[in-house]
Amino acid sequence: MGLLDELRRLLRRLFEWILRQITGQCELERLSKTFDPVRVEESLRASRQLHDVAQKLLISKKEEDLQQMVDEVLRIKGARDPQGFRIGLQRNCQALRNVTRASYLITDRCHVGYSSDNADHEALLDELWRLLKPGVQRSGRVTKEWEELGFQGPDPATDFRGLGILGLENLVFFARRHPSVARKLMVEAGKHPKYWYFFAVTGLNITGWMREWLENHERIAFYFYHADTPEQAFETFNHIYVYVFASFHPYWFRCQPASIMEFNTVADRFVSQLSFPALPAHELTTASTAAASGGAGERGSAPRSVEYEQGHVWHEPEDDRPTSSKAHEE
Amino acid sequence: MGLLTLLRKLKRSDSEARILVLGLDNSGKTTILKKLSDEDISHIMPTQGFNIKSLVQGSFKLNVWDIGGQKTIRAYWQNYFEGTDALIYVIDSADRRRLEESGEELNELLQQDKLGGIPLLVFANKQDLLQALSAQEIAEQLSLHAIRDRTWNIQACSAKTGDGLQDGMEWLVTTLPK
Repeated sequence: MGLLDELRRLLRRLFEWILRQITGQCELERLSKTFDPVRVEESLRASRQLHDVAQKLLISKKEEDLQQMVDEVLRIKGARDPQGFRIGLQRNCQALRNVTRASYLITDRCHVGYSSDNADHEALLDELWRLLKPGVQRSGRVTKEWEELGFQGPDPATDFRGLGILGLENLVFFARRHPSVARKLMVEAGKHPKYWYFFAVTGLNITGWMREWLENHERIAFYFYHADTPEQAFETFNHIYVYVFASFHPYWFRCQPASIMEFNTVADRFVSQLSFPALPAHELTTASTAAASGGAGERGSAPRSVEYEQGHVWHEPEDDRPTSSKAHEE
Repeated sequence: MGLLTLLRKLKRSDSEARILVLGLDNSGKTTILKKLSDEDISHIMPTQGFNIKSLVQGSFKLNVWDIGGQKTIRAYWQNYFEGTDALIYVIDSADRRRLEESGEELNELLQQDKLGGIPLLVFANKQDLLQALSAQEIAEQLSLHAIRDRTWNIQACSAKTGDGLQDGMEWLVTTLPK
């Protein structure tokens, strides 16, 4: 550990000691009075005293342990207002556990490999085709036509790899909820003579980035604080996915890459500049899909931060399902 | 044991080598690269464009370029030929359907002036799969024995388990022109 880190730690402890003298409450108790899971997590992780119980509290898969471990923290720390501390800590920890649980769910789903022998998997893949290529008959199961969707070759099954069935499920969600936007992106990505990219493969990349962010409790973690059920966790993940995808598309064209070979360079820059507005996840998509559906024509401008004006209302064309945030929740 | 350990063992110094990793899409190029760097390989994504990995040991630097293998981007492979010291060609040994296509791409590469005479290592990857062809069967089907203008080697491997990667790289690094 560097000297600076050590100094920071000492200052933090001094500051904490002073506050404790004034308020009669430890840092964790003070933080628990607010809803601030990020700082509660920091505080739990920083404490040597709480190391073991914090580990369990943050990463245990067993739901029933929460209450017991909160009690354990209270016992170790003591409290001026035990009831308030307990309720506050529990609320913050529940949010953190929702993030952890979502991360396990998502990673487990990635580990379900796509199998051509699984009828459900095949049906889902077929649905993706029908959503993105309505009315177009495919010549067979293994065919070069899949490349029009932005898969690498004639059998998409080989592309799912480390993202498993989740990679396909995310793509299908996008195409189901925002069919015209998904189709527009796919066509622009596939047809542009200079700035083309692989639509479906890019989707798989996005699934991969997001899985990693969630596992590390960073970037998108806060969207999962209130995802109390697995369904809510997947739904949240899907909404963020659409937001990221619809943000990436105009960014790629604005960057005017020399060719597809610059994909990773552009993607790295995109990821570092992408901001995640503090909105409920299902409200993210409205602004981003609006921006993406505005066309890939905004050339000539330098790459800039991927932020979209809030309140930018966009309506799906009439042949599509309504996509207002209300409709998602019902 | 990763590549770094290997480089340490070989005690090469004061030089830089450029290795190009090519092969069809889904043959396992990125997984091989990650496995050799001791990175997690459980969530590999298809490569659009390329990945580069630089490994430094003392004053020796090894730059490994992993270029995406989709048919539509193979046209860009040639942009990466210049200054290459060795070629690694990766084959999915279990994908019999595309073995011929893979062989054709390799033949094209071997005829490139800019890659003339440099050592070739063929990784017969995915040996962990039941239906995988052996390295010998692949060498025969691809007529590797007809290659006369360079040193070459075929190595059975599994990027998933790591088996064979070390042996292949050891051969390659010792074969590099000093």
